Amino acid sequence: MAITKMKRLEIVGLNNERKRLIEYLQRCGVVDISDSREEGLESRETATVISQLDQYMSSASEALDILRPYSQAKGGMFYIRPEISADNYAATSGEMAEITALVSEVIKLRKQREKNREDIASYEATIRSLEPYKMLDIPLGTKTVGKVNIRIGTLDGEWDEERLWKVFNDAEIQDVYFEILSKDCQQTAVFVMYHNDAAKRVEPVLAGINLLAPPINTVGKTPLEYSEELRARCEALKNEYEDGEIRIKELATNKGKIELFYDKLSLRREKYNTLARVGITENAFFVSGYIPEKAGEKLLPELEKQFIVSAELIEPDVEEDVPKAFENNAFVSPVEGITSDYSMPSSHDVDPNPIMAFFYYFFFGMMFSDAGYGLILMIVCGLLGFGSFMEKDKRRAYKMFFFCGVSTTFWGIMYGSFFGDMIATVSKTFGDGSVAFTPILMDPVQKPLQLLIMSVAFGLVHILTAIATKFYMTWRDGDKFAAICDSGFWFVLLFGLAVFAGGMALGIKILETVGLVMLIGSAAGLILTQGRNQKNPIMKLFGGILSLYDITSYVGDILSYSRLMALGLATGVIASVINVLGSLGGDSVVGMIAFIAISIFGHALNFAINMLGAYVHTNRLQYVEFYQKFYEGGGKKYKPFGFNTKYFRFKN
Amino acid sequence: MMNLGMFFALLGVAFAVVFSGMGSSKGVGIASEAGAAVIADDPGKFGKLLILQLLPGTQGLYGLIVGVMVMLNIGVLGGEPVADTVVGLQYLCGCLPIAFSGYFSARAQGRVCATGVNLVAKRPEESSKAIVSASLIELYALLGFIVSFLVVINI
Repeated sequence: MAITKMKRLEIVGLNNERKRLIEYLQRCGVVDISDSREEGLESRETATVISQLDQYMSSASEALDILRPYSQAKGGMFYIRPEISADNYAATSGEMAEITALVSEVIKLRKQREKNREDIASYEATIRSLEPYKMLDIPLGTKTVGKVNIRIGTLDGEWDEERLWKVFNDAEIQDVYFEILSKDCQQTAVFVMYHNDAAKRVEPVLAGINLLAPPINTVGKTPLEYSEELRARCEALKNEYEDGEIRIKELATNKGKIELFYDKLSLRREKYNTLARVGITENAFFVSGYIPEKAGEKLLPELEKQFIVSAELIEPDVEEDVPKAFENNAFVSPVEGITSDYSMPSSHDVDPNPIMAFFYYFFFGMMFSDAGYGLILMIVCGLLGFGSFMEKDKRRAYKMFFFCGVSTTFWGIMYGSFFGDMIATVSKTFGDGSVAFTPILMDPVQKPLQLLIMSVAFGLVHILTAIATKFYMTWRDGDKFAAICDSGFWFVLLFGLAVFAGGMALGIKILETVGLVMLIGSAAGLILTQGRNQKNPIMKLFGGILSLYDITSYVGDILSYSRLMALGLATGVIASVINVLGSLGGDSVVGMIAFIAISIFGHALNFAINMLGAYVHTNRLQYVEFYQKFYEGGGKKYKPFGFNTKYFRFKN
Repeated sequence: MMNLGMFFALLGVAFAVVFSGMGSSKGVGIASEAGAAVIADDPGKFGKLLILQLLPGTQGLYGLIVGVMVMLNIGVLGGEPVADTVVGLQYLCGCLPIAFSGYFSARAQGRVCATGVNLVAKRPEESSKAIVSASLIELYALLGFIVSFLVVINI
């Protein structure tokens, strides 16, 4: 139960074995390989290989995106990736060629289908805009026939022959012929014909009424013929579009192959990434990395057996930035994720998880605090976390919520809450009201003040634990004086404050006196020691007095635990409101159906919102109130070089 | 019989529910707008973003709880009707803390969540930090809620 003990593994070998050794390390998946370039060694440049692999991978993932809708959906939280033997994890050149061809065909098909779709849309638009001219029996774009000028175009608004004649008559023009081809309320298509001699008089009139020629040339065919031709072309394109889809569907059966290919490339990419970290000289290479002690002792003889290398395990220096991993029992390990989300421990830190786990479950339960919700959480997350519905790595969070569920159920029983006051409501509405779920500890709504005091008291315990941990850490590092002054006095002061307050509240004089003595004594200690880094004696005293000001931040932190009460109340009261709403239908069949419907919907909503609240605020209490007091953080996470893949799991 | 006391108590209910609800609507709105933009690019982040989008919603619930507690005491959902104006005003006062702390904290929290959404868009692994940042504001809504609750329940 602690932070895993790491050793530094150093390997020196001959260049001809370098690649094989790195592959071997990748299969073992236990070494977090450091960058030898940082130690001033030369290394092999692999950036070009990696960028090439990146290109292949991005095409492959593009192809997979295209194929996804056509194959049975895999994925989601319950999808367990298939296992595959790691023996042939490198892609063969035949496979490489085959899959690359497949991938580029898929991408080409998609591009072609996109183009088809665009072309179809543009042809259809043309067909639509030819619609007003379909009566016309000469090609659009015809300008002259002999000495006759022809103008075809549209006018804004609805025109009839009378209106058009009026315009020409107003301009005193008689020698013009026109036909209205089609009209609707927005535009009118017209055909106008006039002799060359009349052009000078007619054209200004046509410009005046804004006759616009359509931007289409029907290349020697009548509009009707031309749109028939376009329709035929559209039909052909549509067929091509559909054929493309059929072909993509066929190719989708190969999706698994592409996924495997992608995984293999990503493994190779990781290998080359690591190869770049290996230091080389003319004939030899040097690898260093961190490895958990136990794994290292197993790996070392294997290395020496299989390779001609010199390998040794070295105890890292205190100052070295060793990557960190946690090792805890089943009760504690689920919360490791919460800690690593905050920060990995520094070399000075102790593993905070064992202490934190207990408080985490405890506070979560206090805030969610309903036996019904707790049971649901326990059953669902218990199945997900401890069953085999999911991959191992994904189960951890559910294990955590299982323990949270246990605690929630416990607090629900303490507060007498089972889906709020559902039992009492059901009994009152549909029975004689004799049954109710009596709280063991207290009913939060009846005794909110006691609950508030209890919450703050638990907060004090939490914070005192944090200060005690800090005390232990400083003491262990050898600075015993600082441990007593910086943590010890504060511990006594806060504890004294609690004893004093408890004595006052309960009216016990002795406690009050003891508390007061502890308060004054520790405050004096703080005043005398907190300014010890100052040189000037007056500043020493001043620094000491000023340090007492920190009491406000401690009190603020402790009061922050009032959220334990507020969120606990929120769950219970909202649940009760839902029950009240549900029971409004009264004691009848309809009332019962309404009760069930409202309960299911309402409690589901309350469950979701309050679980979110409990989760968020438990995290906050751990991060802000607890970790701030002693946990330094800032460590690096242990990320062993191995098989990190997306679609398959490679097993040795 | 409706008297002035009853009116003030119900006004209190309205204050608690309306203001905290307004704040939450605004807050969830701001966060969800930011969330939708990110989801447009990467629908897979929906789950992570949902938490941030919902966080400013809790204030509305606190207001609802206080409102319901008042209603349970003044004869709307149970209890005895308010007898005189002073008691009604007391209920009104009791509702003010959650009304205002709820309104302002939810709005501020909405903005923090919106920035949190951007943080998650760039670095999904840091989502818990965004969530904790948002919860820093939540405390003040909780404090308002506690005071409102204690006042209402002790009248």
